Amino acid sequence: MELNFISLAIIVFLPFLAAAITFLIYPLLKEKTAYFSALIALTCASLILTLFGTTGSTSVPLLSSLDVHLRFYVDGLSLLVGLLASGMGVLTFIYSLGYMKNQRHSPTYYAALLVFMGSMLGIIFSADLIFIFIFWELTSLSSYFLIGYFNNENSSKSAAKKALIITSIGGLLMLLGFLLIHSITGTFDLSLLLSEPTSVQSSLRAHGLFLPTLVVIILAGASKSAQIPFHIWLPSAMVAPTPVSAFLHSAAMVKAGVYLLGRFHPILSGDEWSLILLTIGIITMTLTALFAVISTSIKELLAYSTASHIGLMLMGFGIPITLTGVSPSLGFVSGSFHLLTHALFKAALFLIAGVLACQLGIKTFSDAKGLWVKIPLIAIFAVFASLCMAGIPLTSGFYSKELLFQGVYTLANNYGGIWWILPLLSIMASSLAVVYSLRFIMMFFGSQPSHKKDVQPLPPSMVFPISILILLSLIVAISPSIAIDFISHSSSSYPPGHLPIHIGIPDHVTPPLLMSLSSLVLGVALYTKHKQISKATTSVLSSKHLSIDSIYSSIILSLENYGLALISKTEKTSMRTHIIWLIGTLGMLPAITLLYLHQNISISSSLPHQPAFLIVLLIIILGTISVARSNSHIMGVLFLSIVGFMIAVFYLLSNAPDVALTQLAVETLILVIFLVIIGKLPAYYGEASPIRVRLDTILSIFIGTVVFFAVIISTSSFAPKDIVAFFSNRASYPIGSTENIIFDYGGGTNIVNVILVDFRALDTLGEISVVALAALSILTLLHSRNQGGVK
Amino acid sequence: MSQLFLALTIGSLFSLGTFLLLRRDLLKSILGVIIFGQAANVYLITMGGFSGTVPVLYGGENLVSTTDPLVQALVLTAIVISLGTTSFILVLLLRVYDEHGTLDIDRLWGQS
Repeated sequence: MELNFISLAIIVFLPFLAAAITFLIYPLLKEKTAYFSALIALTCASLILTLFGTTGSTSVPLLSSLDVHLRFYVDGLSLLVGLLASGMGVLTFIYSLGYMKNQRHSPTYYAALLVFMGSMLGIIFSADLIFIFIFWELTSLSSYFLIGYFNNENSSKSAAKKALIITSIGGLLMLLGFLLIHSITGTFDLSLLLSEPTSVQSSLRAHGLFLPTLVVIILAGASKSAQIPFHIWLPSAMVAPTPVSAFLHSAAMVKAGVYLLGRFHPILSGDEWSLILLTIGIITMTLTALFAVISTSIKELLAYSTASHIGLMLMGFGIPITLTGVSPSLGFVSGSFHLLTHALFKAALFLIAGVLACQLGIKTFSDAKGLWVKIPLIAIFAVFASLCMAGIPLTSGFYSKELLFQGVYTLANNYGGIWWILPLLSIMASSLAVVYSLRFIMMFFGSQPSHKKDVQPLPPSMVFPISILILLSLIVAISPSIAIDFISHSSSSYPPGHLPIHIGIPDHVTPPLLMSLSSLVLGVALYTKHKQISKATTSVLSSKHLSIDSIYSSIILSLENYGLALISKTEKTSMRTHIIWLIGTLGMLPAITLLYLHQNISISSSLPHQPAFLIVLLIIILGTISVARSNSHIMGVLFLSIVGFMIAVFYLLSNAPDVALTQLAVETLILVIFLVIIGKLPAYYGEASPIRVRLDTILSIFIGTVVFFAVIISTSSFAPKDIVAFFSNRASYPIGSTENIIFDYGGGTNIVNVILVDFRALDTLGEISVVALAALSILTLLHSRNQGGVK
Repeated sequence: MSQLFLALTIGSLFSLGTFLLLRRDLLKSILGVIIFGQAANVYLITMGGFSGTVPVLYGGENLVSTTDPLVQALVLTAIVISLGTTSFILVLLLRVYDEHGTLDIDRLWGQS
């Protein structure tokens, strides 16, 4: 089916347009801007829904001579992630209305969120690698603004900086990967690459570039998706407003990395791909689950848990497609399915954490106890979402986790040996997920409410998004096959599996079910001991060598110190030193070239001999020497003027009457300006020291010598000048010709004039602008005298 | 001979410009900058080769050979731009003296 280019362009670019409009309409709508933004997101989401079931690509050339096209690509995976990003956008904007009531409202917040949503949709639907890169960096940039939203706090600033640095390093790695792919295949067109994934991979392998490409693309995805060792930016980013965390750090931005890997799965999957992804995935899944167990702040727990669940998705993508006994697309489907279920329950949990922080002022676990009494409805939601997060049977999280368990179990069964570590660690990580989910649940129970203050009724704009998310999770829990069908559609690039992926209420005991049950039991058992676990783990982790965070800060700190040291070495010295280095280097470069240019320096006769020249040049040299020797300002300026007028004569002798005229006019003007100014200046200061004069003389003679030889060499032979013939033929008009006179001919007799006003008219326009700008600056400088901080 | 003399002139213009640029008096530095500009223009015109006639055509007839008109157009543009920059730099000099009470580079640097 032919894709509708217009609707895709609207999906991607409407949010950007709306972001610009936000600033205009904010004074009218005030906080209702949230509804406007939600409407934009809703438009995008419904347009994406109309594309449901389509696959294919469409493009429009932007600069066809440079092979720049605006290309879009749509398949099940992009529809799924796109729907998540825009749908979560709707809920986030509605929620922001309630959440931001007590905070500083500003159009920048909504504009940044809209830009973020647009760039996210851009990553998802673009089929041009360069566009994907641009949108990718735009998400990093808008996330920088959103994290630093409360930017009067230092912690916000450094957290925003950290997220920006880490994710843009990932972006640059991704660009490197794209360039590697382009260097082999010669195209940036993703749909072309995806149409022949195996041949792309084999040609990459043939050039030995497969592994580098694979590594940089995986690193790019891992940095965006907060995988170890890049996970440190995500917990720090929790200083952002909670709606931002729910949107960027659970449903959208961190999923961009997962999406990238899912996108390149058909092209890059193989043994190396599986090995790297399974390793990163299992390490992240286990370790960050442990970090979540020992977190003290609610949002930090959710952040670590997000990283852990994304590790699970990467493992899903890493499961080889060649396993016997299961469908080849099992791994891909399990990863994508978990992407959906995780986004639903994690966003709900973030929004609930926002309710706690905003309405009750609770941000850490020590404050929270017995909240059931205060907010019963939210408590029910929280318990349900936490159960999904823990993967309790018959919840949405359970089904997606089951698929992964099935994958790792089959993998271990197929390969045996060391691979059994994967199912074991998966059970471990899932039991840790049970522990931290229980911690979240137990906030709502307990004997006495720690919070004495009465709770105001929750604004419906905050409850509504949470209930929608819970409802969706519930639908997936009741009928997971709907979601699976949707996602299986996205793995259409694979041959249809012999074994369909079946998901539903387990009717008999299978190994994956046993894995789930054992992790549940283990998790509950661990929860009873979780205080001791926290203590032990915290003491191990507090050692500085283990902390990636401290490595990051020391790298940043040493870079800053190095920069400061460099500045103080180069910038704090005097202007003299700057000039000496600059001119010395400028002189050295041609000097070296001259030394290595084994060429006979010949005094050629190609320049005509004119006695008048010698006199004029002699006066110029003597005049310049007098400028240098003059010991008053006025003498220097007058001698300079003599030099200038003599140069005008030189131009006249060189058959350049126009230049000579201009030189005369300009010299006169400059002399007048000098004479006006010179009376307001102090007397001449004299020389600082004879040593300095001697040193400067040496440098000057060096420069003079270099220039002397440069001129000798460059004038010893002249190449034939076609350009002269071109201009003298074209400056006038053709005689009796039917050629295109207007475009090709100048129609004048003075060639220099024709060049200035016709052939190079744009240069002349630039020249006039420089003069106008200089005049404006002079006016400003003269006007601002004696204003402000004049001593 | 012409070539030697031209090289000598341009060389000494650059040399003296460098010397002036390094002077203690800020006004003299500016004179150095101006001389650099003049030297570069002279060099450019020299690269035109001086062969041929004045680049003006009469009555639409294409004359046999004119001198290189392109370098002349370049230098003409450069001269006009130098007028703008020179006058700006001079007013800047005036403001420096207004604000700091000196044009001695050593003292100016010491102040900041």
